[in-house]
Amino acid sequence: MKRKLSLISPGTWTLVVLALAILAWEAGAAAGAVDVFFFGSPSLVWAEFCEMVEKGSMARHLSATLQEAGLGLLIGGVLGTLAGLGLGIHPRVSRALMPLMTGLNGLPKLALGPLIIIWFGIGLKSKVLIAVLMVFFVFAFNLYSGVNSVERELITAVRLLGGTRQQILRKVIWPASIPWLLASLRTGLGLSISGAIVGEYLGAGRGMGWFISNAGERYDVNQVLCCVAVLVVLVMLLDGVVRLLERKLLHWR
Amino acid sequence: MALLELKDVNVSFSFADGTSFYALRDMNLSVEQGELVALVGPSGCGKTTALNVLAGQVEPVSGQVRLAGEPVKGMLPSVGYISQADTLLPWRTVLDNVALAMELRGMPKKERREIARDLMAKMGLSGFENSYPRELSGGMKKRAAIARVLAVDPAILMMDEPFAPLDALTRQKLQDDILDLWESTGCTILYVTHDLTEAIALGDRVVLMGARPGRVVKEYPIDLPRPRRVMDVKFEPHFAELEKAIWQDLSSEIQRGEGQR
Ligand SMILES: Nc1ncnc2c1ncn2[C@@H]1O[C@H](COP(=O)(O)OP(=O)(O)OP(=O)(O)O)[C@@H](O)[C@H]1O
Ligand SMILES: [Mg+2]
Repeated sequence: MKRKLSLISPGTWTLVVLALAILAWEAGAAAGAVDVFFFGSPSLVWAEFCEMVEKGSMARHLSATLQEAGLGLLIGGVLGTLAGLGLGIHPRVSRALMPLMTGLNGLPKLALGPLIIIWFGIGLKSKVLIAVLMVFFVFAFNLYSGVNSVERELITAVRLLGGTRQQILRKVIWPASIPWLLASLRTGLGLSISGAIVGEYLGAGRGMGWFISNAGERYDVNQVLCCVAVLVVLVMLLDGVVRLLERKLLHWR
Repeated sequence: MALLELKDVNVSFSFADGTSFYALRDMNLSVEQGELVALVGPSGCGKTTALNVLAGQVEPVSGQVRLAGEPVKGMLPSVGYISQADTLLPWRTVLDNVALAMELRGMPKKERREIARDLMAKMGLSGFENSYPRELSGGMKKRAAIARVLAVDPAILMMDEPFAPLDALTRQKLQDDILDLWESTGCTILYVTHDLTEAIALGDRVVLMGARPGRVVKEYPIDLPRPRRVMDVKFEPHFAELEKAIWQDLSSEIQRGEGQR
């Protein structure tokens, strides 16, 4: 019995459980046990998905959101990485700036959304900025910890082998920080998309967030669920890509 | 003239509560060109600190480090330092770890890899070029660390309890390797250990340090015949006499240290 179970991978089990839940949901809706108006049904959600794809609205809104989130992740990630590395290798600067950073990180970034919309308008800029704010601190704090967790002995050893400050940065501190960078990337993916969605919620002309908020106002449960499912699947796929990257880059561990 | 010298070196460290103590007090040590000196002493007496001063990693309050009679500040040129810790870079293959010092000097990839390959073969590491450090045994890691410093032909090797964590058999094999290396290259070696047998088997001279404050207590010339094999030299009748004499002094140093705590 045990042998048979282990033949099926854990991933397959996830799918089986998911399929059963969807089946039960659909059966419940068909039998009238689940109120379709409030809770939708899988077949209606699927129909919604097909329609959105056909009409091209899925592509339009998804691409808008992805563009905002992608830019936010890129800019926030690069700036956060630089800030984290910089603070990590300059203890004196970090002693002065770290409390400030911690304070800023404590700001409810979502609550700043309305202000950002007022200042930067309802276009691309404001969404990217919200995503940047969400992502920046994750990278900055992670990379800061990364630099600080590099074993001192490694640095000393490379210095004794003749390494300059520059070389120690490039050949010890940077490679030691890659795992922290990838971890930040995984967290940042979801956060940047949330940031973009929130920005669209607050004011936009397109994007998944804007679309969801409209559908919600119309009580179009199936449309909301369809968009949410698409986002969930998308984040899972992107996370898988980063995991592959991790496996490729961190095979030395 | 001695190749390497510590002259009246004082090193003090301070504790978090503001008090400070001398880790080394008027420490004098000299190592001749081509000599293999073993430095022994109770744990915490300042052996590592002495090496760190020589390597320019710890700055003394007063006193000098001299190379061939000339005072030096900062890092000594042409010293290979093998520390107590494992310091291979875990994300690099063994080959690229061994090639690191050459890489830092800007040697082209092909050339340095060739040299590294030869060195690895010499240290019995062939076949592990593309392995990562975590895939090596403790003894192999030490070999790789030694190969890494040998890559740039250091005139002086400083080793800090390099084989302490290894099992007896592996340790003896590596000790013989050190003897081979020393005999074939004629380099100068300063070797820290707390294993008296190892110190006597390898050394031309054993230097005993005492704790609180750390300084040299006594030196013992080791007039056992060369070339040596660790397995054979241990059974020389004179070996036991030396070991007993040094052990008595060492254990009284250890007791003195404990009495002060
Ligand atoms: N950076 C430091 N700051 C404060 N105290 C230190 C520092 N480095 C060493 N010490 C202290 O100096 C003394 C000598 O240390 P050292 O590491 O040189 O001893 P050791 O002889 O190498 O000991 P072991 O055989 O255990 O390696 C110890 O009491 C240690 O606690
Ligand atoms: Mg030590």
